[in-house]
Amino acid sequence: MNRVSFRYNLKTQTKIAIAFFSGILFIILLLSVLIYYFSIQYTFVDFYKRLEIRAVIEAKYNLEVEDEKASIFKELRELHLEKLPNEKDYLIEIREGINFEEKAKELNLPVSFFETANQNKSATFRQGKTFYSGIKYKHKNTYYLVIASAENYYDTHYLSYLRNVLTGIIPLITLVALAISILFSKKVFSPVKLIINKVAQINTENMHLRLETKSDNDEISELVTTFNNMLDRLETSFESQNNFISNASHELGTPLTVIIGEAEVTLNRERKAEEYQESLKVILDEAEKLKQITQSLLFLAQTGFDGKKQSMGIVRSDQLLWDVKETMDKINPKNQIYIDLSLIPDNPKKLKINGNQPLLLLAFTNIISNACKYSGNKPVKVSIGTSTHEVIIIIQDNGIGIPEAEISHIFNPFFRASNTKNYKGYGIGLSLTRNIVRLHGGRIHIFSKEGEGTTVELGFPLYFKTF
Amino acid sequence: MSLYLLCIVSFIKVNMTKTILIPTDFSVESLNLLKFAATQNEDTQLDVIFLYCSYLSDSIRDLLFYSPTKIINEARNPQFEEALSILKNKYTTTIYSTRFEHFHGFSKNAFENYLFINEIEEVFVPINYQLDTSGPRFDPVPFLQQCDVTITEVVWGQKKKTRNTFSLSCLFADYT
Repeated sequence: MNRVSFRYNLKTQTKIAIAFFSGILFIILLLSVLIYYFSIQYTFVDFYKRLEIRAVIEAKYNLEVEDEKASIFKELRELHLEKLPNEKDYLIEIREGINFEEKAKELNLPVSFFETANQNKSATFRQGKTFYSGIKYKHKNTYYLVIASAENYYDTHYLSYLRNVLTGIIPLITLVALAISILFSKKVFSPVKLIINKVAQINTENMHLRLETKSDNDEISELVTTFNNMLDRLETSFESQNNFISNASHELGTPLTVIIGEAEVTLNRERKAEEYQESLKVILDEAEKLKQITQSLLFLAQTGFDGKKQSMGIVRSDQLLWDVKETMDKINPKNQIYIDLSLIPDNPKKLKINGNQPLLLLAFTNIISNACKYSGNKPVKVSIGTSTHEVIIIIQDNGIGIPEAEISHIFNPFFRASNTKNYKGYGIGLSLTRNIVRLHGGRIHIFSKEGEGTTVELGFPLYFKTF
Repeated sequence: MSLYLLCIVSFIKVNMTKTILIPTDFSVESLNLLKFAATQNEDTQLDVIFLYCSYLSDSIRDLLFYSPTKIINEARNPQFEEALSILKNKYTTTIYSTRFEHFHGFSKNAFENYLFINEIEEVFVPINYQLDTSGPRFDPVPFLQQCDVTITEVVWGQKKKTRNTFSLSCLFADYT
């Protein structure tokens, strides 16, 4: 028995739980990172806008002093706009040929920031936590550069809050995901566990036990049905093996009893020479029967699945049939075997099968001699044809047939149908034939109607798969 | 000269094709019609049309999703395919092509039209075999016999009444 071993010896259930869990974890982490990233982006843009508004208001109340509105702007700003941390405003007049470098040095800002603000009418810049927003403002034909700067309050407070929430929630959700994935994998594997427990209960003493089948057509019930079918086969083979021994001893016993009985009776008293001859004839007959039975038993044992390799080669199936016909003509000259070649394929390659010639010959002879025997030498038709995958041989007779209830046992060793009392036989031929057919990867089907005749259909895989 | 002969031979070969119609109920037994047709036309290339006849459903939803392929695929069975492949292996050159058609027309004219459109030259019908008429199937033989087309009636030996028409042994019947 090969045991499947995993690298870490993990159960499939655990593997599924881990896969499921890591999937969930990955999604959660990805989601958190994305949320955090887009929040940062949004707060930056938002904060620059706020600074811009502040810069506009600053410009209004610093430059338009004579205007009445200026005081309103000042009031508006002081009352309604909260003071930002480290808020600073700068007002720079833009004169002809102004050089921003000096200013830039003074405010510790890059020159490019001033130039962009001058050209595009607005610019943004960030230095650590301090954000700068500059606009170009026109007042009485003079241009001014208004710069508002402050520390990003949202960055320090809102985002750190978001960070805390996320770091707090992720472990919590991880725990929930872990619980769900364990439950999930348990739920998935509970039917498998059930099957394992049930199968473990079945052994040679209670082979009749079967797994419960559910009506739903999922993989698990398929597995259950497969198991049950396997158990059916095992049970029958167990039974037939048990029967085999009792049948074999019975079959071997009968001739022996006759021999012993005959010998005892003859030895009882002095007899005439003819009487001795007669009883010796009986003994010889019975001994020959014994020999036949042991010979066919030997064959049966040879063809059984005992791991012995049979030598296989290319065999022409039509040639086999002619050989069988020849053998039958020797054994039983009164036979009426007709070989029907009406559907023999054009291509002789399609007649070749992979097999052991003597064994196949034995199998065909068994079936065809049965057909002759049980029909009292009425015509027997042997037809041959080739389908896509196999050579099909059909043997039809007009014999006594097989009772319907007994067809399923017909391949058991020593089984003989109830209507065969008047015919000689031991019930080994068909089981031998079935073993041979199985050995060749073929199939055998028997259709029969009591009193009408029997049809045996044999299929053997083609030697050449492609043409 | 030899080239000329070759031309003639190939010309004859090309011309020796024939479209035949075979009513079927997808039983192995009914394939005896094809077997007979093939034995009668050994030197001809046969384009075989299997005609499967059944009534259309009364349900409007079924009619909406009507598919001849589906109906035929439901009726086909492994025994039939196996028996057909046996015949194809035997008559490799004779059986040139096979195709299955579903037909639901229920009048002589419908059949006449069908035969005309498909340019069918010969129809093979069974005499002592009754096609399966269970379920929605119906027997097209009476209609076909009225049509203006070459009808070949086929009789083959059927030993027992209780035979299984799906058994491969049905294919190996004798013609009388």
